[in-house]
Amino acid sequence: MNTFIQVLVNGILQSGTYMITTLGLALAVGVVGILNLAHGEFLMVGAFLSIIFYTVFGIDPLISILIVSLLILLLGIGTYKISLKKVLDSAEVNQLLLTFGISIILQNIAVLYSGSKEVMVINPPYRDLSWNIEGIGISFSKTLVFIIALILVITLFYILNNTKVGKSMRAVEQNRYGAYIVGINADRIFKIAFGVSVGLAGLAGVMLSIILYATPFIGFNYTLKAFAIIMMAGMGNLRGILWSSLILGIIESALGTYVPGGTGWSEGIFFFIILIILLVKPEGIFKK
Amino acid sequence: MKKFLQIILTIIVVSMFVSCGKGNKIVMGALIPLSGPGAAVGIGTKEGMDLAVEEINASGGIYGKKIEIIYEDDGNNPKQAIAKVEKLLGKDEVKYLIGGMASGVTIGIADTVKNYKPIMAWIGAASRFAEEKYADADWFFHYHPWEYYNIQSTADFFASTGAKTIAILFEDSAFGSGGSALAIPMFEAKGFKIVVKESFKSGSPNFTPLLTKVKAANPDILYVICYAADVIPLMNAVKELDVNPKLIYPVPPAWPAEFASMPISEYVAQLNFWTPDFPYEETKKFNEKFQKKYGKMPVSYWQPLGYVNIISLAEAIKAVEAELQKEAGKKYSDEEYKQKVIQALANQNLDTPFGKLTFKPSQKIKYQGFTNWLTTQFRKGKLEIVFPTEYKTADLVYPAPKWKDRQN
Amino acid sequence: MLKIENINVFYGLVQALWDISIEVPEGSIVSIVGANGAGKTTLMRTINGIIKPKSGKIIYNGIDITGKDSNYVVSNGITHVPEGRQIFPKMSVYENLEIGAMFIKDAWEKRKETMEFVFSLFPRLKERINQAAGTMSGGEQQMLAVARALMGRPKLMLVDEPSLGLSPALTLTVFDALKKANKEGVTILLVEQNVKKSLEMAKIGYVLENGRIVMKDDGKTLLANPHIKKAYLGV
Repeated sequence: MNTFIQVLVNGILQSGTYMITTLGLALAVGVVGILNLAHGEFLMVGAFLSIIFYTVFGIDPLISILIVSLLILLLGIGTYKISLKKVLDSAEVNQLLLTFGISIILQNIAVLYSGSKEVMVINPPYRDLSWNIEGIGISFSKTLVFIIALILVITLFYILNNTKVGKSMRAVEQNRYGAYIVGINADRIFKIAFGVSVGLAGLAGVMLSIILYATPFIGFNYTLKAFAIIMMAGMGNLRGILWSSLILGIIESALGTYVPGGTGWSEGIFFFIILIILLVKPEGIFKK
Repeated sequence: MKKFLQIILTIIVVSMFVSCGKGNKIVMGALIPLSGPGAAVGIGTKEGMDLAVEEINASGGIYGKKIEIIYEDDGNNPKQAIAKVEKLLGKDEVKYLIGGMASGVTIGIADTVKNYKPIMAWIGAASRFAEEKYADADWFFHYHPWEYYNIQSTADFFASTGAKTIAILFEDSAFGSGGSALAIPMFEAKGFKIVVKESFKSGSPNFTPLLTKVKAANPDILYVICYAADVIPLMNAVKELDVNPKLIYPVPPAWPAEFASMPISEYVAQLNFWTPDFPYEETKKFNEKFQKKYGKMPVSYWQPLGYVNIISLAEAIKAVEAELQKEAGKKYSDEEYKQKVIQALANQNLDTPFGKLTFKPSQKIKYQGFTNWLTTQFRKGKLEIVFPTEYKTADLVYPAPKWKDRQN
Repeated sequence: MLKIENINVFYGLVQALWDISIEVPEGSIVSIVGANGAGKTTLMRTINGIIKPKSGKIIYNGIDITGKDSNYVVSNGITHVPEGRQIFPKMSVYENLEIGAMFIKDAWEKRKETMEFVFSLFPRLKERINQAAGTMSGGEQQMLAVARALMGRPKLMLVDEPSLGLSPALTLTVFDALKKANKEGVTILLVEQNVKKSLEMAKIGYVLENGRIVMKDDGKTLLANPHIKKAYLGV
């Protein structure tokens, strides 16, 4: 029984990272209409920046997290202005190629920076902090990620429903042409949405640098999983992302613990699910 | 007309220089992982090799001939490796193939290498399947111990602790699967019960599900075959879930540099081919040279191994060149030269940071270099040798204290 | 109020409008009639700022708005009831209306008042105030599109095919609303399939054929014109 509870806890906590990354990607795909293959790389940059702030300036990640996210938000706006703007209306293939190119560039910069270090780790004092409740191990930093994820979901929900910017984003996502008609400054909305989108990825990256480490190649995995969760949740469905992340996190955890060779499967399970959903219910399985 | 002649003349002169240049260099082709999951190893190897090359060339090279290494990155990927080795042997025409790390790569390039039959002074590969591939190659010199040597040493060590149960986690490529397939029968033969046997994908950072399973099985020893990138997430999850085996024994080919200084490293044991505290004179000398050139102490055995790779091969070539020096104008054909170098290597008896290096037959190949392994344990950021007891620098701590009983 | 001078509009390399000049006096209703594909919607989109003309000028209240983006045009008091309604399906009626006023300063401040006004024109919308716009019928969505445009308290309203797909009863409601808005001072530029109704309401009518203006006169005169009668009224 203990094992079962531990599996649940593991899955729930793991879903926190997925939630944050996917929320970001949902903004890019839904509002801006960009299939951002480089999404995970912005996460990776966040992780690297967090490590740089810690090792060079001695600033704890939990403090630098806001600065780093902001920096990446600005990086996102810059990237949008320089390149993505031009492929907004062109074929998806162009977007995929462009964002793929951006991901390669970011990866290579990271490789140059990390040099011979395969893995960049930092050791803030709370890194290994965990609680043991009735034999169930609960990691402090993973719990923190989960709580931050929930806060972000709630905040995003509020913004989308109660602010001009938020409503503009929803309008752009639901009917881009209609948005032009009512006078929404679409370019400004795209800029903001894309910036926030990758800023969220960067935030997740900072948390990852505490839980795990930074390497130039951690990004891709998260990009793929975020796409999977968006498909499962359905476009524009915030609540769906929450539930989908939870479910997939728990499935991943259960497979890894109970099924022999399960960890190999757990990556595949994400894509198996996308396939099934695409075939059966392409609009996502969660009601808005 | 004039311009045309000038161009022709330039081409002739330049090619004369180039071919002259060739004669004055000893070119070696090194195939190592410089990117991907094995990069820590490859970069360490290169550091050792560069140190050796600098040392030899600074003192005039081998009878005036300087050593030059062409490095190619195999990315720990057999397909990529085949392309690179074809370039080294076919296009660059190197006579000496050095380096190596992964068994998968070593097996993958075998057919290509056999087309050219260079002198292969190889510091990589532990899998017996790699050994089989080169069983018929009398130009193949293997420095790294085969995995059956490691596993024997490990099994002996485990038996000395009094442990009864082992949980094995292994990464799912040739390295991990091959290693576990060999280890399990050897452990069982010594009377151990294998309570968990699970594979995982290296570089995939979520170990919590697997370790939840391990915790439920409550093994005496946790044995993990993984790569450097897996060590920290593995140990993080162990601590987070409060998994308390009596001993944790990961065996990555290299360790992340910062692991030793992290509190979670305490009491973690591993098989070691070499530590900077090894009791040999050559170890001390190597440490000093390394520190002088790079401003840091060596941390993995790949650095001295890369160094020895060059020194050993250079010694053999030197012996042949010495012969040539004695008789002015004497020349060997390429094939004769090669056979002479092979002979020199076969007869080599060299002091190295690992102890004495000689080449003797192993289970399947003719020229096997190193065979010995030690068990070390992390203690307060330092590696202490704990087994075999005649080499020990500290007593083994077994069982390791539970996480909640530790100071940090 | 609006003066369009000799604009030429292209879709990529293909020309859609040739040398168009149109005048919309303040407070009037001006109709543009023409067959499908004549270029009516292209014209509306160009005025709105979604397409930019290659040459020519668009002057609105003395301001040159040629080539300006749609958010600039809208914030200056030009709203648009677009072809195909283009409402926001997952937002409620209330949110759709609200967004019509969101980007025009004066309209936003007076939005409560304006909403009362549009509800008086379209009581059915008030009944469905919290319903998701995408779940309403075509006719209701059309009313919503007109109401949304009115929420902007426009000085000039572009109306593109409002009666398309509507029942005769609803068509009457919509046209009544347009007339009432016009009485309140909203200048209207109307593009309509229902040539009879639109020319009846119009002070000035333009006929657009294959991207060119071929006729201009007051509404009633055009209605009596034999070419119009034959081509558009099926007489």
